[in-house]
Amino acid sequence: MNAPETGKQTLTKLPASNYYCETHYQNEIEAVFRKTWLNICREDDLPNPGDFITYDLHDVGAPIIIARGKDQKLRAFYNMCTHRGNVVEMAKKGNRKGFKCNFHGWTFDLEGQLVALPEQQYFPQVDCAEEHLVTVHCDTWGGFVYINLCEGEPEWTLAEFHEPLTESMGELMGDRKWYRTHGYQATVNCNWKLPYDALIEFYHFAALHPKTVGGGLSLKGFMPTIFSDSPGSVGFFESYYAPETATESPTPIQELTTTIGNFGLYVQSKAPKALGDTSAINQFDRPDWGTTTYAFIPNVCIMPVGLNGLALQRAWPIGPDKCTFEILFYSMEPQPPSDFVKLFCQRAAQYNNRDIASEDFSTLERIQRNLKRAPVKSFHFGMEEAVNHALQEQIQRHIDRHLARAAQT
Amino acid sequence: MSTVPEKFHAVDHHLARWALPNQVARVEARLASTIEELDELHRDVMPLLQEIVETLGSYPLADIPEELVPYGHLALMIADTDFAVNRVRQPEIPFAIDLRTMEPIVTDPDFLWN
Repeated sequence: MNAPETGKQTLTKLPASNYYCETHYQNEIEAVFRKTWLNICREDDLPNPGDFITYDLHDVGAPIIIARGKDQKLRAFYNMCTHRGNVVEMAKKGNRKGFKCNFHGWTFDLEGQLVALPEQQYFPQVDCAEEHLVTVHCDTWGGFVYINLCEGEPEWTLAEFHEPLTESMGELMGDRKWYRTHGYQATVNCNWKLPYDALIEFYHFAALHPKTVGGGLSLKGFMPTIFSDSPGSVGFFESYYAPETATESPTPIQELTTTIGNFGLYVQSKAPKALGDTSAINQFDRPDWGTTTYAFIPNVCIMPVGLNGLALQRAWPIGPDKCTFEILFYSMEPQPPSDFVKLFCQRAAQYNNRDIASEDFSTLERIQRNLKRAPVKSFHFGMEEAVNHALQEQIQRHIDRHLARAAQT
Repeated sequence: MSTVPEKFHAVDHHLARWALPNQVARVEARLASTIEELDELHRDVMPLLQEIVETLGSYPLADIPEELVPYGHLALMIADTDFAVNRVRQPEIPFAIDLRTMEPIVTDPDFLWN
């Protein structure tokens, strides 16, 4: 039987070893994570000159600092003193005039330039004007800050990397202010692609979430779109509200939040275009539009949701069978909410969402334990899982290109 | 004069255990409870929940009187245990990752309503 096709994509079985093989894992790190653009934070996380965040890249590279300079420009550096390698900033975020290593006191300014070297007379070989924190490529798209760890110039600009979504998603995410409402992070014993996989298909809803989601979302109306030629955009799919398919009634809490706040996990927006007139969502202009889920290379899923929200997940590798992931939620409403009614409604949806996500991630460690025993050598992906399939295909294309170049040198 | 409506005192006996200041504490309390205890909490608080939420909602969030704050935290405990009581009928979500594994990312650790 021929494998089904979605657009240009043919859904072949893919090797299970992609989720545990050490060689494949190292190739992912080298060819994808260290050569492509990585989503780190929002520009709004660093609004003022001197604002900084530090970020742990886990297995991908040394920790980094993103800092906004006096010239308002965002820059990224490895959080590593050029003297003896200690971190120069231990806080997660803050505002500084510069970064001082607490080992020997070498101090770098917001542009990464060495500006203080204690007992400089004993370092005649060091020219402060030539000494910088090691710079990391840094750029912004859609209000998000991205870095690229490659040495030399990146193969793609950030805009080229995200084609054909550069304009539409860039506008959706960047032309309005997004306020973070809440988020979660977790470290689990599984390959980094497993939590990513869990959020880029809704095929699992009926089996995994019968009591929590309890139906109410139609996943059948729109098959994924795959961007086979893009280096960084994998594909997307949409879901639609379908109350007639609900297998559970709204809980009393959900009914209350709908009554007093017109807000809830499954409250259909009365204005499907609440997110604005953008081509990035609701491709067919359906009044029952619920979500659009986008997957990007290497590790980011971005999902606009009906009630002027945006969900984002990043997964970071720690080893072939360990990862950490973050789920962050944003709203167009200023945060914190202005009053307790809004806060309560938001929190109620947040806790529902957290409980649902805990089901999503429950399978991960079980799958990983099974993988190690390896009785199943390859996996099927259905048409509703075409984005998952495309993710692995795109990763493999990056690896193949990287290995071909390495073979030539 | 107290800003706490008289009828709110009907749930005062739940405040010490369940009016907890943040999500981490609420999840710990939830997972350390039984469904019977959560049922009792919901049975007593649900009739007042809308009034509690709207009473606190009548103030700007930053100006909620201190004596009303525990009732707000109690309301959030009810929200936190929604699926436990109303869907899965046990404190933890079955076949799910331990909720404590999912560490909240908060913007301000000192925010009263984390």
